Amino acid sequence: MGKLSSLTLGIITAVGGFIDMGELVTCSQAGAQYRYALLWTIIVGALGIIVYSDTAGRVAIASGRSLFDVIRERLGFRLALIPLAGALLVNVLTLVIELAGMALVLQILTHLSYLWWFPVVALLVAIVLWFASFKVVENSASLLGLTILVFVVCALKQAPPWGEVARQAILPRIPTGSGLAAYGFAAVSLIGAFMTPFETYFYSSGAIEEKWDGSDIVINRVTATLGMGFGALIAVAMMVVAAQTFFPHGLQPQSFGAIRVPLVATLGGLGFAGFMLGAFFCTAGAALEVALSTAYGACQFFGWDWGQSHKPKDAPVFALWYLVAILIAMVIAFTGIDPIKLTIYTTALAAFSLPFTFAPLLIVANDERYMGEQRNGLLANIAGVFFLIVLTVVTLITIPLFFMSGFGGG
Amino acid sequence: MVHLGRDVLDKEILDRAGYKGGKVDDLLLELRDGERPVVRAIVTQHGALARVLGDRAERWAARCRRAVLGFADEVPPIVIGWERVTRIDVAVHIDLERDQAGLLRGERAIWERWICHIPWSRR
Repeated sequence: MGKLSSLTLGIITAVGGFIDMGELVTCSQAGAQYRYALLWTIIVGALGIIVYSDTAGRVAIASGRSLFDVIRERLGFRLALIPLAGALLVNVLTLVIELAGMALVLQILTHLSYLWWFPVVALLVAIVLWFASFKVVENSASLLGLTILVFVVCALKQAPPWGEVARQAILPRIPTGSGLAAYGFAAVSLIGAFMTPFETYFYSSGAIEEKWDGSDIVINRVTATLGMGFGALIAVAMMVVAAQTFFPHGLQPQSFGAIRVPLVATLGGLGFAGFMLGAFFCTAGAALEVALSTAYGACQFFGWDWGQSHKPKDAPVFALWYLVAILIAMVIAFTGIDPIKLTIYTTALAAFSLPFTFAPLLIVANDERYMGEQRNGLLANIAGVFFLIVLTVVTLITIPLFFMSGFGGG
Repeated sequence: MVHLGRDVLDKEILDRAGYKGGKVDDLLLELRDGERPVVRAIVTQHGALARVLGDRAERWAARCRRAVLGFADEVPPIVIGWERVTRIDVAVHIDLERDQAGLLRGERAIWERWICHIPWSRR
């Protein structure tokens, strides 16, 4: 049962983390605008997050150190402030978009502006975090978010040219008339969406919350691979579904509600219900994870008691951090910022920030004093260095692409 | 042989029972003419980090401590004698209880000023 529970950790990180507001928006827009020409980003993003999560999980198992322990220990306080500040900023913005995703689902159902729903969903997330144990947060979101599989059902029913899909996933063909800078920025946003940093903070901290030990090394690898692979499959379906429905007509889903159009057109009421439940619970799962990840990061960095398995009385600073993060997210939302645009910018910012946390993790994964026998092998290092280079390139090109593409608009 | 920057600074402090007690934010060294410096203490919490960052950060941290924790401006960092350090591995272990060493002062203040007022916090 314990091992089964560990496997669930991978599933929630996939469904609640891999599939969240970032994927819902970026995959649909990418499919609509570039058909299958950005499917390769799912492969890169999925492999990257598998390597990143596996390494973070292994470091947690071997040394009992979480990601932000390791970052501060290896970079020192001054330098480590940069990834901490970046992580907190990206996390709070991600929290805004996940809560907005929940509120937008309710807006579709009630025709009441999402801003009216925002405080309600923010309070709901705060209440769940206040009362629920780590296991409850993990299991409830993972199960309820599975309805997002409706995208896979829809893709199968639409029967796209799978040969072409596979070909373009490896050899993309950019549609004529598409600007290279806009295409590049979309690719960066997608990689940022797939490799959302909070997933790894949550994964690493979850491994410690669940008291993983040496006997969980295989579980770690299996959950990182299968969990993220499972998420990638749904992301492929999302992009394919949007490509099949929107691209031939030159349409672009400009609102959150438009993402459901292909599902409703293909599956009718089942598609509508699947989207509503899936989108609500995936964004809810992600909101819970990202609020926790914010508190995890800060508490691990400064050495305060942390953990969802602690009651607020036993880890008051941890509780304060996630409550304050939710409060700040609410303030940002009430500035009236467009949640769809914010999603695009946040995923790009997430991509920008990734090497700052991945590099110290990779260093520690090679440190025998921390890792003992679980130190990175040759293959893990090749994969790690490859993705570090990819992420560094992404970091370097994100800001120029943002301006060259007309602030991400293309 | 201990490499202070790598093996001690920024490591987690664990008390006698293995509970968290913050991070090693700074070190107190005794400098003697012509001799190697001697570590006298590890320094943690309440502005220890702000001191590392400079005067402006220290003033800002003091304001935050006053507003959030209700502490007076001049709350000194906690200094733990080097003789209290029993072991250094992935953490720095001390032979004190964290309460006894004052390492929970900040967390207690957060509890008493903020968290305990939220309904069902004492469950």
